[in-house]
Amino acid sequence: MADMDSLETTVFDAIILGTGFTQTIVAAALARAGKTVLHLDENDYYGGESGAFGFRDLVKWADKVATPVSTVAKADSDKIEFDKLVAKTYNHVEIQLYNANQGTIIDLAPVIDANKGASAEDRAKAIEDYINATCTPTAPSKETNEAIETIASWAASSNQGATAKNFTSVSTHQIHALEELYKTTRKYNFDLSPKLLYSRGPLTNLLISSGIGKYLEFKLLERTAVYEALTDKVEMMPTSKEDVFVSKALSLKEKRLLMKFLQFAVDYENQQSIWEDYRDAPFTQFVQSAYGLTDKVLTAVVYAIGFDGNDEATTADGLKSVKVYLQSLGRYGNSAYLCPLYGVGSELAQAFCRVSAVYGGIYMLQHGLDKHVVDKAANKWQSVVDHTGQTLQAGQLICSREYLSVDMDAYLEARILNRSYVSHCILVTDRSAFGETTLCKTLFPMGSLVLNPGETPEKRNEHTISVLQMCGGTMSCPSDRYILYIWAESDTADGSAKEELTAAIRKLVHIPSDSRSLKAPASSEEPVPESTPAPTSETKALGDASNEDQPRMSLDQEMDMEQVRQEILKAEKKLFEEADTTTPIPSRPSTPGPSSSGSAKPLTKMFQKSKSSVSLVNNGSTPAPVALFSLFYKRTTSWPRVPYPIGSEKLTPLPSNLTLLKPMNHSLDFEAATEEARAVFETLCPGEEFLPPTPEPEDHAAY
Amino acid sequence: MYDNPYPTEIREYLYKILVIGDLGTGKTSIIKRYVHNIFSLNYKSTIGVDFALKVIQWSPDTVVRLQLWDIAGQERFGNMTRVYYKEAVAALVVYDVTRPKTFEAVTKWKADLDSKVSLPQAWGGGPIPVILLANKTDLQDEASTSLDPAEMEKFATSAKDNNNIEDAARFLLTEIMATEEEHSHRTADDAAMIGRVQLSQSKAKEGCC
Repeated sequence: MADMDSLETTVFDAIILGTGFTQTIVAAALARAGKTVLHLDENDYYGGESGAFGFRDLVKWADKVATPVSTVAKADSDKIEFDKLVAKTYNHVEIQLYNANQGTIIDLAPVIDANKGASAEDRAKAIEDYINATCTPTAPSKETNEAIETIASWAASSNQGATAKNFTSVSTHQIHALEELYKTTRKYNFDLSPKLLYSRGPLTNLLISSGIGKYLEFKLLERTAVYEALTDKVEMMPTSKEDVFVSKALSLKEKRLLMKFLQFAVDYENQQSIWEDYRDAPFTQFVQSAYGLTDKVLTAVVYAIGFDGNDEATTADGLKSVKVYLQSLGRYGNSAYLCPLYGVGSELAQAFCRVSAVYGGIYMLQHGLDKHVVDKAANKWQSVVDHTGQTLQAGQLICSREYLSVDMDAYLEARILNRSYVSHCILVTDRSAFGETTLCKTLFPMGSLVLNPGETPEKRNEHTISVLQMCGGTMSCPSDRYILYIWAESDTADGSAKEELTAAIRKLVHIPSDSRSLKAPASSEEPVPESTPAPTSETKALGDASNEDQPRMSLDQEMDMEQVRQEILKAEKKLFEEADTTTPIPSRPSTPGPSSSGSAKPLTKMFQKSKSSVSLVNNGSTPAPVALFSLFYKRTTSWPRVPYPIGSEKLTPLPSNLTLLKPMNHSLDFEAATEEARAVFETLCPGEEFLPPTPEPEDHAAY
Repeated sequence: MYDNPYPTEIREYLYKILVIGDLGTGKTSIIKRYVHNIFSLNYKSTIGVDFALKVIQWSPDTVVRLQLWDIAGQERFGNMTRVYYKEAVAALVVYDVTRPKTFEAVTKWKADLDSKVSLPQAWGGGPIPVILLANKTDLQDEASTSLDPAEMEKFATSAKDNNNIEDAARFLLTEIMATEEEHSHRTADDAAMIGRVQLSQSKAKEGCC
């Protein structure tokens, strides 16, 4: 668009680089407070590390971050090397298309070998020609050609060792699968670092109070499952009071214990004497030894409720998140979590950007930046020079790490002693891993999985692995597909995301040619005709039905909390009365206690959806989903924190008017990032209100 | 409006219409002229307003509320936020007849639009109807443009002289209403829900019940 790159004003109150989630909140808050804001992004999409992509753009993104950036020998110390820093952030990128052994198999090894000396482009071209000559697709569509071209480039890439290894041969089935993904590319919104919102958490409350929630739509997370190593099963947890009542897995005694704990947790701040001694002790220790929830099932339930991504949660942390969880239950239905439609963080980031723009923030995406200008003597950041040579000045600079200059990044690097990473996997499957539950979270507790079965020494998962299944109803994928987001914190750069996450995937999905994964569903054991990668019609119907019967939420559809509370109190009272009179209490009744079904009824009616509370997943009755496509990557989240490397305190710190925002963490929610944005705003604009309500448009007579 | 003083059933529709185009082409002036019938030469970018609302008595028993969404500070690149595009049912693409570059940008705007938004499934899911406004005709000398980008109805407008804007909007609205009629096999209430943005839900609650 004409004159896009020149600005009539080049001096601002604040310049913000990168449209990651945290930056966008700061941008909205500053613009809302009347500050002039220039918001730039080198990428051509919103969200930065929380970006959301269609399938085609996801593949492009993966190829880009996997390709090392060719660099000039020694860059200027003021230079901004965005692409290089982004590529440095992502490692162990690996793409896989499954069902390699179906259809006609084309061995690519000879042609790869023959073109070893050629450039990657020439090699890819040779492979492409070879595939075309070998399988001669009849009436190839645009997407067929694109699929073959893409596979050829993966096979040819020497930069992405892991991906190239997956494509030393290719089957016609894989080509069809990729073609199908390209054809439906716009139906996908893959999120690079997916998360959830607590219905009554600080972020949701902020979205409501500021009016920004009006841009967004949500779905409720349906269930939480936890993997139990002992039984080798993924089990749905009773994670609401209603679930607890109707649970068949809990005895009456256990139900009482659990309800008592939940009642305590809601009010834990006023009962410090109970947990004070455990404040900094691990939460699990408090739950088990201090509070006495020794039973495995109860521990799992509390874990399912209180785990927010932090394996090192102290009792104080754990009780806080259990409380937020319990407060969130019932606000919009029988679940504590909201999941935005159309991709998670990206959608939130765009809503905040829209508000910032409406209040005068100027936005330029895909805007190349050249260097920072810093007054070295005063250690003050002065301006940033863009690719056109334009100098853009501001009083404050707010950015994420990828936008630092060579010098600044070196400083940051020198301040980091302990490194941290998040391993990610985005997996596309053909059906739900949880039967008719389509939007579901699963936790694999730390140490519950063996990462290298059959090998010694045995390696176990050092951190909880979180899995989020999204369905077509979240506008993240077509209605006959499901996305599994799998991620876990990691302490080392060495292990690949694939090594660290595959053990969890095996418990949920059939991975073709991986005998340790779930068994293939009966239907796909028969030879599948090549042209029908689509799932069976029942699955389709099932998926559609479950997508429809869970309505979308907007934030103004709050439930009548008083009514909910009354119902719960009534049900609780009944439960306790009957539990007291029922003697002896069976340790684990196989049928629900007499009270559960009766007391749950009014609630069941009131909440939109209720399913039998504990159901075994993949117990043979539901066919396993088949993995179709996966993308693995490992993102560095390293950040300076105590202890700092010895001697690093002598280095010149970053300019005083530069605010560097942390990378997105591995947690399940956005609360840490929201809190960070608020703190940054309060430092920059002391005394100003953080994102006050936006007036209703109709009130604006002046427009 | 005199023929039936007690219409049995007032149908109310709410539509989101985007106003896009390059910087300084007069988008805000067009909206102001259309909604409030005012024009000012002191061009200021719009602060704090998502959209302007125009209520139209379309027919004795039909009221249409048009939300006209300005693009705020986001106009400098082709990448609008999805929250801006979502659930729009039509768009006005504006260019400045005195600056050919703004006309060249029209195809880019149209492409970005079509890649980010389509009609609701109930309306067939195709691309949303778009009209082209050749604005600032009051400043135009005789030697004028040019080829039309494909498949867009064009209106030569002037926000300053209040020329043709009403007609252009009416043309677009007629098209929207025709689509609405074509796809409404349901009761008036159901049909009115289609294409509504969320805000209307709370509004509806306050208003009718």
